[in-house]
Amino acid sequence: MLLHSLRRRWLASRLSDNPLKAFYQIAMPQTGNGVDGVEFLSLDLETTGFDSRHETILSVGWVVLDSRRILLGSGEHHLIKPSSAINESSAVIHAITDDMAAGGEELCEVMARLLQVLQGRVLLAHNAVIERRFLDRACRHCFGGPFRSLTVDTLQLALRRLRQRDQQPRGGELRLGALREEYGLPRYRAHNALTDALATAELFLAQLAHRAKGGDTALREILS
Amino acid sequence: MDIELLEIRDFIEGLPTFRGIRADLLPQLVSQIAIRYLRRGSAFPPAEGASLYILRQGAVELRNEEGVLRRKLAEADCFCDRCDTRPETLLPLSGHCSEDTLLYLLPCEALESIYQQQPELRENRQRNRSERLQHATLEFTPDGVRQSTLMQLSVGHLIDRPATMVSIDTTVQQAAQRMNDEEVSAIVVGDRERLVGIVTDKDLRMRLLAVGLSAQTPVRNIMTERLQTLDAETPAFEALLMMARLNIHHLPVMRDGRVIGLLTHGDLVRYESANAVYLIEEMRRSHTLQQLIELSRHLPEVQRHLVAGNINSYHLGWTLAAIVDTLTRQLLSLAEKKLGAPPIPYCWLASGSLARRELTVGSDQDHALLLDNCYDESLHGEYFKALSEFVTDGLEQCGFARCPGEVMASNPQWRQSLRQWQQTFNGWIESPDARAMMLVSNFFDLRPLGGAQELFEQLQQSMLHTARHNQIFIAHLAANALQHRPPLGFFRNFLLEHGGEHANSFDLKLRGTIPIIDIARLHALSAGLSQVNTLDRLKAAARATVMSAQGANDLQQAYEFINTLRLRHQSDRILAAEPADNYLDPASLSPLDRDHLKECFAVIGDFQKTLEQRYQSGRIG
Repeated sequence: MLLHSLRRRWLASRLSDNPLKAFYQIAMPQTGNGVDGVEFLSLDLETTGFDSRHETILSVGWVVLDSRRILLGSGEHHLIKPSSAINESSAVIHAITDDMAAGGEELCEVMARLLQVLQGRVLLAHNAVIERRFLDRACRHCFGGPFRSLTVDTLQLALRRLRQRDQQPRGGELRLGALREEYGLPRYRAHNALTDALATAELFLAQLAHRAKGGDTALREILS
Repeated sequence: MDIELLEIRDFIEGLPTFRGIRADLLPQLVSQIAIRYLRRGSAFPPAEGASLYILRQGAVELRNEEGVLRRKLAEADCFCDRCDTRPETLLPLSGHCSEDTLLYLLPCEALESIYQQQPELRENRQRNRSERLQHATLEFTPDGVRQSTLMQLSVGHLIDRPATMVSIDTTVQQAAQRMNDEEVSAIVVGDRERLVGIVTDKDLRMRLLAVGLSAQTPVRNIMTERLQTLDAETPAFEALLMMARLNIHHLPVMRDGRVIGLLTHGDLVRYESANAVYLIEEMRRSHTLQQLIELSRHLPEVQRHLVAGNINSYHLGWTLAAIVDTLTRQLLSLAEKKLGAPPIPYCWLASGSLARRELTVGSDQDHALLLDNCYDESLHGEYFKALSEFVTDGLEQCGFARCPGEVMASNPQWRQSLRQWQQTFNGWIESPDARAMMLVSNFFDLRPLGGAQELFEQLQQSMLHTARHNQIFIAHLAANALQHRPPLGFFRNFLLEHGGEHANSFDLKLRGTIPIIDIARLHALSAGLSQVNTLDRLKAAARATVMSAQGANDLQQAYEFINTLRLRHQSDRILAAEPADNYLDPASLSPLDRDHLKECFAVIGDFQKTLEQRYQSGRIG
């Protein structure tokens, strides 16, 4: 934790005044304390592929929650203008996004908004490694610095739970939909970044509720 | 909030509570929702600000303060013990999640704000509650018209408790005791688990008491065997037809060869009456004339459903009167809202068929206004003129034609103080003329609908007292009861008239029910009876021995039968989207009905003959 806040301070010092610097300047929750009262930002990105070096972000969705409740009013969904993409090499993009372009926003504008709402909150995602990689690339492009955030990964939580029982994940078992089903959560037909962010947030509440300590779980125990 | 939360939007929009929510309010509503995940065993409701709780997934059990299970919530059920406008009507319930539960919470303030922007949603919610209370699950078509679901519903759905079963060796007394304890009108008899018979209240009367058997008789001796049963999947309307065909009121409902319950005729009728109950509830909650007009459009359908449910005309009359009473009271309160509080006490009087609770769809409006003795036309005339005109116009817009004889409060002649009314009545009674006798059917059948009831009581007392003791007036009433004669009968499809004419159709009301109504009125007034409804008057007249029990009974049966034909005819008209009238073509009757109708006419004819002799009214008329 100390290391994390020191690194953030150091990162902030190397940046000029921009949203990323502001993000690093705001204190994060204490990881030794319980998750009660900690706020999370459940995030999902729709991308053209998994490789952040060659693929690009199409849309971003997020919703804010704490350890008990998800606030639907905090949900946001942003389409990103393909012209502002970091990498336009993929021919696929254009096919997908031609008609979206009109309503899309600049990537860096969306990133600025994201960093603003992420201030003081813990990032939550399913298979967060992908999200972090894309966000890192976007931050370097827009604000000249890397993306670092306290992160909870619902996939990792599920994996750890399996390992505690000496079990190995079977194929597809750790997918968002499969895990939700395991916790009796409804099946969502529509897939977009916001619905998936919400789906992840609900899964997280279920995972937390099923931990022996519930809200007394220390943040440290669930961070990736 | 973003439009992308389609999953939530669609779910919310599909809830009965929010059915018909305006598209622009939906995002506003969704954005105020918080989502919680409650693990099985968690306390419910969760410790949160007062909210509407919507179950997205999972199950909840709610208990009252004594720990008795009162409700179970499942997916798409809503629960709120604190958002409602009338919390005192609800018992505090709490409980726990019986499954892992995904819960949506909408703060009460947010719900209230939605309600204020779209008030009819509040009615949705309250209607949903009364639906639950009634154990009825009526479907709403998108335009809000209630449809009978007897067509779609299976009888299994109408069973809400297991049938009471006794063994074949149980004594009748023990069986009757069980029936009393469980407040049921019938009990099934089983040989071990196998259904072998049924015993009803009527069996106890007819097969035990009437033939003088001992109460220690085993039920096997008086039960009905070779039972008709219904499979749980049988459509409810088939059950209704079966009951009508077999003339029975109880049918055991079976599933997989076992009795799951006993369906009663009352269950089915109650189910249908629910339509009327909701219509009344909705009228009570209406705040505008427009809403009342809209609601009144359902009246013909309500009548048709009630008739299809085999309701008798007496209960139909009560039900329709309850609706029109509510409508009138709502119009009065709208008028008072518009015109301000009444300057002096008044009483709105229903007269004619509404007063007697014998109206059908298509009845004209008849009413009058009774004012406190301090009424001064120069001071208060304007107010009551406006009030009366408002209500009369309102009723007309709601489908009740103006009275052709202008017997309405909007006619200044029929807005009088108590003292004036007493004088008017005295005038009619003491010197009855042709005009007075025409008004009799309106003004001697009165019922107070709104305002100061005690004004009406004073008027009624003096009217009954004066009428009873005036033999000339009573003789005029008798002559009046002879004015409309039933047809002599039928020959094939031709009606045989007194004048030897024949017609292709005849007025069931004028030739059938009005003579009976007149006879009942005559007897009630001659004995000073306060009853207004025709069947009530006939029963009371028999009790007061101004009429023979047999005679009263015959007339009641005739009245009921003619009304049944009339209502059936009206239902056909309503279905054909034609105005409900009383003109029946004899050719449309089955031979059995025609014979029965002939007998009814004969009963009326006999009565009229007796009256002619008793009052020698031929000379007076």
